[in-house]
Amino acid sequence: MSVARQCPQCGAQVELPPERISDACAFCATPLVDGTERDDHADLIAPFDLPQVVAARRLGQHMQDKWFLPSKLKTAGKPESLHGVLVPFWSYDATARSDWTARQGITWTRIETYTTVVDGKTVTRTRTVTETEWFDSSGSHVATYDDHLVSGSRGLSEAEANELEPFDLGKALPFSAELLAGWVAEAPTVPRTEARDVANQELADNENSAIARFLPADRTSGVENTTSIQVTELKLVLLPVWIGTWRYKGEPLRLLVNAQTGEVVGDLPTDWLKVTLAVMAALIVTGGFGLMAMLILAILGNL
Amino acid sequence: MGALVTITCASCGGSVAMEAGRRRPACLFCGAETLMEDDRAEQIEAADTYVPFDQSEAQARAVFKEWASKKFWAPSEIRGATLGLNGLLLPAWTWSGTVETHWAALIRARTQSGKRPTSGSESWAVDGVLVPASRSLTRAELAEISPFQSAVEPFDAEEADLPFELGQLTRTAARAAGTRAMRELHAARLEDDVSAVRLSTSCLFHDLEGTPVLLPIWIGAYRVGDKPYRVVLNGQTGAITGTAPVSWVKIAIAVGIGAAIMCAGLMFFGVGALILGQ
Repeated sequence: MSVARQCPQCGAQVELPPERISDACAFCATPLVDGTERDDHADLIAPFDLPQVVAARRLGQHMQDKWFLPSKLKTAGKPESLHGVLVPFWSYDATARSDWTARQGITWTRIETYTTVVDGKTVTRTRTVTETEWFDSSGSHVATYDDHLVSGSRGLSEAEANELEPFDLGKALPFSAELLAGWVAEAPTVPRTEARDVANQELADNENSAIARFLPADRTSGVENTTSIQVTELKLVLLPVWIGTWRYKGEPLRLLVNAQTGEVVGDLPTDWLKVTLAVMAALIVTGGFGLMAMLILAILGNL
Repeated sequence: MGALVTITCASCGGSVAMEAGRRRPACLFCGAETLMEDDRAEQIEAADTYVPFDQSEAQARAVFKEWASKKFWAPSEIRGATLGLNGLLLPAWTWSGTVETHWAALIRARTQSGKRPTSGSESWAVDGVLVPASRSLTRAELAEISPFQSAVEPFDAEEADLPFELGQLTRTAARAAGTRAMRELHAARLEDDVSAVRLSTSCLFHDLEGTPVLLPIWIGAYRVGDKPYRVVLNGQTGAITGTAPVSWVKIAIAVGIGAAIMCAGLMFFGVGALILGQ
């Protein structure tokens, strides 16, 4: 449900969807910011580092690099629309404490004697064999995490958000309405309790790989951890993302560009005809080589 | 009904626009950008205490002479080298706190590989961990001439009669360097305690306190041949560290003597064996 408000500059009625906290007036382009006090007010805003033209170029390059993209899309070039959106993220500073169990393998070498036949005679030789000795082990591990991000927008899945990261929160500025002006900014649609569950899970997973790297043995396997996360600070941050959209065969297509790093994220359709042709070409080439090899062998065999 | 506001320019009252790709919004009418002050840049804290010099220049020279005379492998010119010596107060941060280290190690054991894994955790309270805040001094140099006694005196830049350098580390950067140093110190201690063959540590830091301080340092430069070398002295205790040239002639002679002794020994045994054999 959108809310109708009056633009204080030109008097036009402006529709502002409830998840928008800023937009431009459709009639006079005056930057509008929702001045309502909200309890989910962002703490930090990171400005757009990448201008629109650069984002458009990145998108174009990304599409050129895709082999199996339908040609229609490839030649279409520019997206039909390219919007800058300040996307809400929950940012966690946290301390993780883990108890772990793991199998740790330490390698050692032994000399083995073996017999072999050389020139028709049986001889005894030695060789070095590397063995791994496995131990059950357990212990604890600690870590601190700064600015671990979880998407606060239903429009941006956590998987896409993780691909878009990293963002440099060092470039973020304290919230001020001025920073929102002229941009589309969203209020969080993922509540903090839900985001907290996602953060707990992601950090516990991070700890699992951190512990695997931390273990001093030559090999490790079966690392299991129980991790408790203590959040030391939770911030709501607005991060800059360029969103490019197309329509292709009636389906909406969407690519995202991290407006700090230029990283491009999103699924593109695959031209299955192109894939089929490529596979066939590959088969013909390998088949050709195989035939040639058989021919050569046959000729050599006949000589 | 929520209020909808436009942003108004502080200088002319016009509307403010944020053009795509701009870091700051600019006024639509006058182009002014003076809407926000960017005060995020972290200020560098100046030290307000210093450790006074206890070593005079003459004492520092004597320490250098003594140090140089003990450099066995250095060419003898080092004893006659003229030392350019500068005494100055150099900025550093001193950190205290508790390191909570959770570790995993491999230790010697009667297993087939001769090792087995072990783990543990320990909290350790440290203080006086120094990290340099200037490029004139490396952390290794500072560690070698540490410690300084914490007898500090108030420092007033206006009235300082000694040359001093300004710090180049913000509290955040100094904190990172301080915790890194604490982690390394604790790891070295644990490595000794458990006789680790290999050790991994993960750390948390509690009750961290950091203070910028100025340390009394003599920095000496000398030349042997046309190459410059450098020594650094603790201006309070006289501890010294530095680089010295190595004389290849001396090493060659030593190797020669060693070889001669071995030859003589072999000959002696050979002759002895011959005599015994007869």
